Amino acid sequence: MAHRQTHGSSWHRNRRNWLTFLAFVAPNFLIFGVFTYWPILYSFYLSFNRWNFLRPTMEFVGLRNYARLLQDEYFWEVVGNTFTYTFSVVLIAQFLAFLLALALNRKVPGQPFFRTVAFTPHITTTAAAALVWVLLLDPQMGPLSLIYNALGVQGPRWLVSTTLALWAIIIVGIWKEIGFSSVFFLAGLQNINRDLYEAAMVDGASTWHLFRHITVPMMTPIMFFLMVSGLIQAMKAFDVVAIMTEGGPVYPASATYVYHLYQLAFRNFRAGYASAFAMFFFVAIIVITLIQVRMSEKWVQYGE
Amino acid sequence: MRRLRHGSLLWSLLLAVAVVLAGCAVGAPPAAPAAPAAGEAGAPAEEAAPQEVIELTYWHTNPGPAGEAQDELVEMFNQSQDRIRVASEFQGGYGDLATAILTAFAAGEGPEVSQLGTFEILEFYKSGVLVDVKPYLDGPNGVDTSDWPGTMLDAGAFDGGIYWLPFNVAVPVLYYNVEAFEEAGLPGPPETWDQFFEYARKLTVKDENGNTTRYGVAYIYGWFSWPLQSMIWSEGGNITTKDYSNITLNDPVIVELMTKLQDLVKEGAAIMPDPASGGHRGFFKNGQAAMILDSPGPFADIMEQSVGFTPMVANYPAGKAGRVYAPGGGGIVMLSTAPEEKRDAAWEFMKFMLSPESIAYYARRSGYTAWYGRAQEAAADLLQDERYRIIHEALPYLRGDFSVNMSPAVRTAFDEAVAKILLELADPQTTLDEADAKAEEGVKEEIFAP
Repeated sequence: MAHRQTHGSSWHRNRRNWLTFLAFVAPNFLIFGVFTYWPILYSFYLSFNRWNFLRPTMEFVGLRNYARLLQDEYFWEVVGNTFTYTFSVVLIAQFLAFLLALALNRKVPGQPFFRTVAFTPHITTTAAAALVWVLLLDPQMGPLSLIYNALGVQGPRWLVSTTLALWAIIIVGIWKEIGFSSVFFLAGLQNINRDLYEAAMVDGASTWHLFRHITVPMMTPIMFFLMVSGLIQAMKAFDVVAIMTEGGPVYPASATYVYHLYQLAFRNFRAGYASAFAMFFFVAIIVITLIQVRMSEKWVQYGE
Repeated sequence: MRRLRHGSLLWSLLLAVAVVLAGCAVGAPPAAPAAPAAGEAGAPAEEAAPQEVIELTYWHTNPGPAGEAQDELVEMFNQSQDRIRVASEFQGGYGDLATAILTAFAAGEGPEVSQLGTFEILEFYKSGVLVDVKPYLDGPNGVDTSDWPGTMLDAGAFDGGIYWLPFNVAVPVLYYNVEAFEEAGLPGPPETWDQFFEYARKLTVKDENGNTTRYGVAYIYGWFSWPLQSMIWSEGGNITTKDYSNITLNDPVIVELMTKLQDLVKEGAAIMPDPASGGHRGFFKNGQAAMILDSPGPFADIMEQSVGFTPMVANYPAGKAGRVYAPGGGGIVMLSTAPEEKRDAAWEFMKFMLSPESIAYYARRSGYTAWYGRAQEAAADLLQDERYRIIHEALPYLRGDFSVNMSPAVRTAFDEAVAKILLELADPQTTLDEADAKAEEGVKEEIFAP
């Protein structure tokens, strides 16, 4: 009897916990449900159909959208562009941000000012940043043209060159990402226990050894976080492309995956096909993130 | 006690749901609050039915004066009578406007009347978004279209109905540098496309190192396919039939023209300038290019901002098929989401927007043309300026055919080919063959596939 009573009260407590949990989770769950999960499910459904958002009926086409996707030269081109963009932005930006954080971590006069300067690109609207860069890179009016003129050479026409246009976008991506990453790196650097350095110095470690065996390992969790979030962020690049090149000069020379998806859906009215694009992207991001997590076990060091 | 706590938990759960739903309601489209207002108006209306005001919404594009002028016209319409009230709403660029219509239509709402560019006409017609206005046009409260130029009425005509009417009409305009022409000993603007190519070379100036200091012509970056259409049609070529049953991006006329345009680039007589430097217009205004093929859009800017020379306008040259020009700009449509009882009022408003006085007013304010006979009479003051008169001379030659714009497959294949040939200097024949194959393949996926 006593046993049953205990059992009953634990069930009651569980139920109470469960209801509390539900009460707290419900608002978020509803918001996610309506604005995230439902669109994903609906997009999945659309990807098996041919539809233009407007017609009253959809035409079920099975896997045709997916089959077509693999044969679509635009698909492979935008995958390639996105791959180039993402890895260039993430790797170069992280590397530079780390160096910047190391520099900002030193006790130099005016340090808060430099930190603010470093972070500013991140909080600048992409539209404004992209426009500024369009002008900076302009071979006729941009400040770079002064350098070209001084050197007596014809400056590259970044935005009308099929090879350089994508790199112009990458430069803006890197520029915006550095500030964000450096703030995280800086926070990480300042969190490293001083005792570790002191202990190592007592043991006669050189600056390089301190860096190699204390700073870098202690920063790996932050690197990992920035790598995962930066990769997802970079893969979704859209606004810089829309403002700087619209995927040109010869489409899709500088079009990213999401930009092309938008063009397909809202400019060419191919809701079903664009949904197949979206589904592929969804799976790709999950797979890449899982790979990162799996690989992180090998190099990310948690704790001291 | 426990019951009470459970109850409060459930309440908080319900409250949370309510908060979320309230949040959703806040985010609902602005149409929602209008509903109770209509209901309130409905009750007294039973007593005084004739007084009921019909509320309409009009969506438009065009930033700056060309957009403001539409708001002004709407205000004039509201002032002119007390039966219909139109709310004018700016929706961004042409693409944004189309996307806004798309999402509104999917939700079963949207404006009764809207401006609409040329890209979406066919897709929207085929999807049942647009109302056939032919019965209104031909009806007792119709519009006299006898003096509408060229074949403009055909642009929105499908399967016996008319779904799009021209409103803001642009014509091709060639801007030229008067002094550069005199220097080169040229009598006046080119009359034929052959002369155009010849003049472009003669107008080019190079320094002692062989670098071009003034190009004969600067091409438009991004939308050069628009002037190209006039060029191709005037020379007797065709890009596609209106039903897309015969797409001919590699038509010999197109290959020949693209080769000639590319030759100018290779020789340093033409350039497609970067858009950031001000593009082709910047090059012209700075005297770095002696000719540009454009529209009346930049007229005021070019006349005011050109430095060190006299800018002048001309019509595009004629070709073997005479003068055949591609119109630019946009039109006005009635949307099928408009309830039946509001459609007469919607037409009343469209008719006002298309009246000679409205079109003349719009031409004065926006830089678009007073595009038909009576509108030109109403804008007689404007046409006293020789330059406007010249621009308006292009109107009778307009071909109301937006088939290249209306198919994403044809449009993108053509745009890409043009950029490849003029920027990357790719071989015109091969590039256009590939583009043609791509367009033929792509159009099969579109809802108007032949």
